Formats: sequence, structure tokens, C-alpha cells
Amino acid sequence: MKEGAGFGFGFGERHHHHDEDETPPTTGVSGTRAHQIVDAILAILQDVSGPTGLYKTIRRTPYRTLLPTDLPALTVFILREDFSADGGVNQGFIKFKNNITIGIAVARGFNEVGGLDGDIDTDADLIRRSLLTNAQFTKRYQWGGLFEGVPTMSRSQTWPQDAEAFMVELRLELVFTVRQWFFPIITDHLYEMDVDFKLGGRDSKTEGIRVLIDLPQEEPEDDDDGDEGTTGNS
Amino acid sequence: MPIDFNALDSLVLSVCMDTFALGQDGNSSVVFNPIASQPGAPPYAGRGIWTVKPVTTFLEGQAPMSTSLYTLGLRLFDFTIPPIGGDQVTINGDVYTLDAFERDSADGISWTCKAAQPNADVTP
Repeated sequence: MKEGAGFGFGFGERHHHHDEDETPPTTGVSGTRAHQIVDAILAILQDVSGPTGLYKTIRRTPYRTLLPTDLPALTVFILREDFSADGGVNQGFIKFKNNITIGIAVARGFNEVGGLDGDIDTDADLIRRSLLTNAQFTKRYQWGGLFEGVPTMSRSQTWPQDAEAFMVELRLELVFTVRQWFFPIITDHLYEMDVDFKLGGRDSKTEGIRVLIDLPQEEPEDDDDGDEGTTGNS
Repeated sequence: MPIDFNALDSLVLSVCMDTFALGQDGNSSVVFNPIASQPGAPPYAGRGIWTVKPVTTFLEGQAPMSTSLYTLGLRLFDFTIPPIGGDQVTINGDVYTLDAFERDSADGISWTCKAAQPNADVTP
């Protein structure tokens, strides 16, 4: 069974520890993991909302313009991504720890103020527990999970005054940590290594040794046309 | 020449109310339910100038939401006990709660009204 099946999305790649038999971490495609997390959250919350019609509108972008008849409305979207160095900044290829902040907003209206307060409190509890106790969603990164951890989350609410009804908007922000590694893309072939040895450093008077090492080249698997194409060892 | 503020009621506010207020004929109704100003008292009919102003308010992520500001203009001399915030008013069958007010020098008062449910006549 594909990892993540049951959500309607797939996140079966192993990402943190790079073995030969696994797909490399996401390279050069910023936001992909963030979108997958949004997809996963939406799938879970749609399941939660579905049987009871808890949310009349569920969406992943701030558009189209919300109407009073769309309430209660749930919106899940990427608020921001914050990249920081994953290890030494001058060692090896470029690696980041990416903190993805996902915003989950619930807009409600047309109720007594006291009722609204209770409603969004229920929303906050339901959303947090639905996501963070879901074993598929929170499974470890090494086993196909979407993220390494949730270092912080926050809750706030606003009470819009310019509205035709008593309204409230619940704002949950969850931070998901992922690793994003940018492997260099090598476009030429490596045929030999040229190595200089010298005792005592560059200024030493000791005579150095230079070695040229021919590297074995893999034959193309399908080379019917006789070209000397070479793959591997790049 | 000094302004006769007392005359503002007879010359301006009363005339405006007579001309524009709902609840004065069989085609519209304004019924106050004084749950805050007179708890336990029965609803009573009245009149008021009804205004709907479309606005856009912004939610999380600058998400726009189309909504409306409802106001009901009243002449305080029409009431023995004027409505206060928290009272309900039913206008042509739709229920609203009186929320915030602006009072003028001619004893007119404009109440911002919050709807109990989306108004089908306003939101398509």
C-alpha cells in the first residue's frame, strides 16, 4: 500500500536519511512539501467536517471573496516558510531546515457573541486533536511522514467590527519542520581524478606526488546505436 | 443667527422619518423586541430609516469577505422608553440586534444592527 493512502495524497518518500535506494530530498522545488502538508490537513479536516457539515465552506486560498452565506468557513493555507542552515553553511551541498507555517482559519458569524466564543473554542480543540493525534499525518519522517516535528503552534482570534453580523475568526498557526536539501546537479562526466600529495603543505620543499586515477565507466544499458554514451559516476 | 436645535426635529428629522422610515405603511414592518431595555415586555411596532452599506472586510491572510453594514435611524421622541444596545428589532421579517450607536444633536440616533442570519435580500 502506498504510504499515506487513505488521505487521498501520497507522501511515501523517505527524505531525511539519504540511502542509495531512496528518492533524494526535495531539490529546487520550494513549497512542494508545504503544499503536501496543506493537502493532508484539508483531507483530514474534510473528513472531520463531512458527516456533520461542520464547515459550509472549506478552501485552500483566500479567494474567492467570502460571502456571509459561506459561513462557517475553513481556510487552510501556507503563511510562510523560514529557511535556516542545516549544518555548516560552507560544508557540502546546500542544506536547509525549513519551518513551514500553515495557517488554519475558521470564520463564523450569525450567533450570539457567547455562542461564537464557545464555537471557536470547540473548533480549535477539534482541529488540533484531529491533526496531531492522526497517526498517518504525524508518522515519523523516516517512515514516509510529511514532516519531522511541530515545534510551535499558536492560537488567536479576531472579532471583525465591519460585518453584518457578530463574527469571529479563529486563527491557528502550526509550524512544521522539514529538511530541504539542494543537491548540485552535475551535468558533465567524471572520467579521472587528478590528485596532488605534498608533505608539509603547499610551501614545503618536499617534492610532491601527482596521481591520475582513471575512473571506471559504466556502460549504458541500452546502447543499440553504438554511441559511446556513458552514465553514472558523475 | 443661532441655530434652533429644537427646530431640527420638526423641520428635518421628523420630515425625514415621515418620508423615508420603514414601518409606516402596510408594505414594511419594524418591530422592536425590548429584551435589554424592558426585559419581559412584549414586542412593539415602530419605525426607522433602514440603510444597507456594502463593505469588504479582511480576514486571515488578507482574505476578503463581502459583507454589509446595517443601520437603523430612529427618532428618540417616537419612544417612551427608547431601545438600547442588545434590544432586537425585526425588519420585514429579518431579526437584528442593536449593537452600536451614533446620536445626533436633533435627538436622532443611528443604530448599527447585527443580523441573526444572512439577509437573502442583500446577499445573492
